[in-house]
Amino acid sequence: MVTPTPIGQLTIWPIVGTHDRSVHALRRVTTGVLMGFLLLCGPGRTASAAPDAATLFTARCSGCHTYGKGDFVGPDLKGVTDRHSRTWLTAWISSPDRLVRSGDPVATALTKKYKLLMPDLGLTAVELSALLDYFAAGGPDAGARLSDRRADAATQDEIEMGQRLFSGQRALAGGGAACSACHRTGRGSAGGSLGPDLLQAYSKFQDKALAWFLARGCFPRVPGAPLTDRETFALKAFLRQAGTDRAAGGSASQR
Amino acid sequence: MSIPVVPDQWLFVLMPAAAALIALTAFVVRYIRWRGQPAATRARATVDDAAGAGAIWRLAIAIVLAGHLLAFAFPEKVLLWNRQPVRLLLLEGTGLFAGALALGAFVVMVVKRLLSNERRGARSVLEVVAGTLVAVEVISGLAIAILYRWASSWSGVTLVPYLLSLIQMKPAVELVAGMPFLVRLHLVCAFALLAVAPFMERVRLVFVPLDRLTSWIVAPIGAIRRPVRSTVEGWSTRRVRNERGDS
Repeated sequence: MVTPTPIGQLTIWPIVGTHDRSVHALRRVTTGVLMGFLLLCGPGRTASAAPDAATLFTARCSGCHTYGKGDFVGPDLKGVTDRHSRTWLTAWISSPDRLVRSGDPVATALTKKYKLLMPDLGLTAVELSALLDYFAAGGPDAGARLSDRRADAATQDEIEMGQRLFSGQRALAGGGAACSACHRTGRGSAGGSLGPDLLQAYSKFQDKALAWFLARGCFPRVPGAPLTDRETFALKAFLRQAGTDRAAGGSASQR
Repeated sequence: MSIPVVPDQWLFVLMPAAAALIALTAFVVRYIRWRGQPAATRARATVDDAAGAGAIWRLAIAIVLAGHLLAFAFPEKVLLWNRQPVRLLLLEGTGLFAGALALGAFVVMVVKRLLSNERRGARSVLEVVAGTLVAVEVISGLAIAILYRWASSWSGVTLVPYLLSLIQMKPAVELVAGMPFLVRLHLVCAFALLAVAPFMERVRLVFVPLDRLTSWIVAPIGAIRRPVRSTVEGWSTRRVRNERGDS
């Protein structure tokens, strides 16, 4: 009987001697580590971030639309949810081409006015809904109001959100590493030690400078996806709280 | 007297490019020359100290390398993994333990060699250079893990994009320019090691599986091009050899 050369004999490890016990152990350990890693990564995937409407607006809409700054390639989106029904907007953004072909008068008029058919953005139902909620809530104007808010006006929920964003328990909308990969907030905290300790960041920079710095980001986490206004505010509020707590703890222990 | 500072562009743009070029050329040339050698000479590649410290060293360094490879290939997955503190500690702890084990085994191997009566010099100067570079890599890697913790997280947004930018030929030096000395040293030594690696004796260990892989890929093409008669002859000869247990 002919025994074909099994492909399994193909040694991919750069070590000679297939009978070497250490080689077998090495293969098993590394394969186990790889498989375990891939398996354990699986459940985490479901916990990925919900779509952030401000990021979606910047990435997908702002190329052609403004919010409150007049018509651009397409119409100004300020008040768009007042001008059209949610059902119509959903149908329009989901598939502009289909709506025009169906002879919808508003869709036809818009295409005629701006001499361009709006492209199909390929948004999911969740993304589309988040975007419409965002427009209804005031769009980027609401974000601007948020960035003007002082950190001492933050609610407990916002501070907790900041803490979760800092530690990485909640993912940033734009992806990338959490602040705790490089920074910590005080000696006992679990953050990284590559970057500076941010315990005194709020007292050092105060509201505006810190908000500006946070929004800018330390590294190009994901090009074109900086922190959202909500994330910036929450992180600012958390850093203020961390600094205040530590100061209060320090003065209490001195007494 | 001030110490001259090597520009970042030299260290993090020119050096990796030169290292890759040298490594590729040297590897191809050595592989071709190795293939030209008789089969008996080719199989000569052996591993020193197959048991004991040598085995521990290989195992530990394989784990460390696998970790580096995972962090480079799946940075987002690693960040996702690190989102839970227990997982982060597990990953970083494994890396640190494997690194410490590798360093321990390395020291034992060096001491054993020094105390040994058997006088065996290094095969070449480059072997010594490569060994020193490996030692610097292990020590600096351990120091980074201790002093600048959570490297598996921060490297995903700094070193990995930098290495990808090198592959894409658009070097983003700003991602590493502001890094601490140890991180820069670790990178520069890695580039140097890449350039030196193909000149090492042990590169033969890569040739054997590479040769099998290329033969496996090329064999069907050769079989198609070969006349039917000789193919049949080839098969029957191989069968006889297999049945007799000849190598």
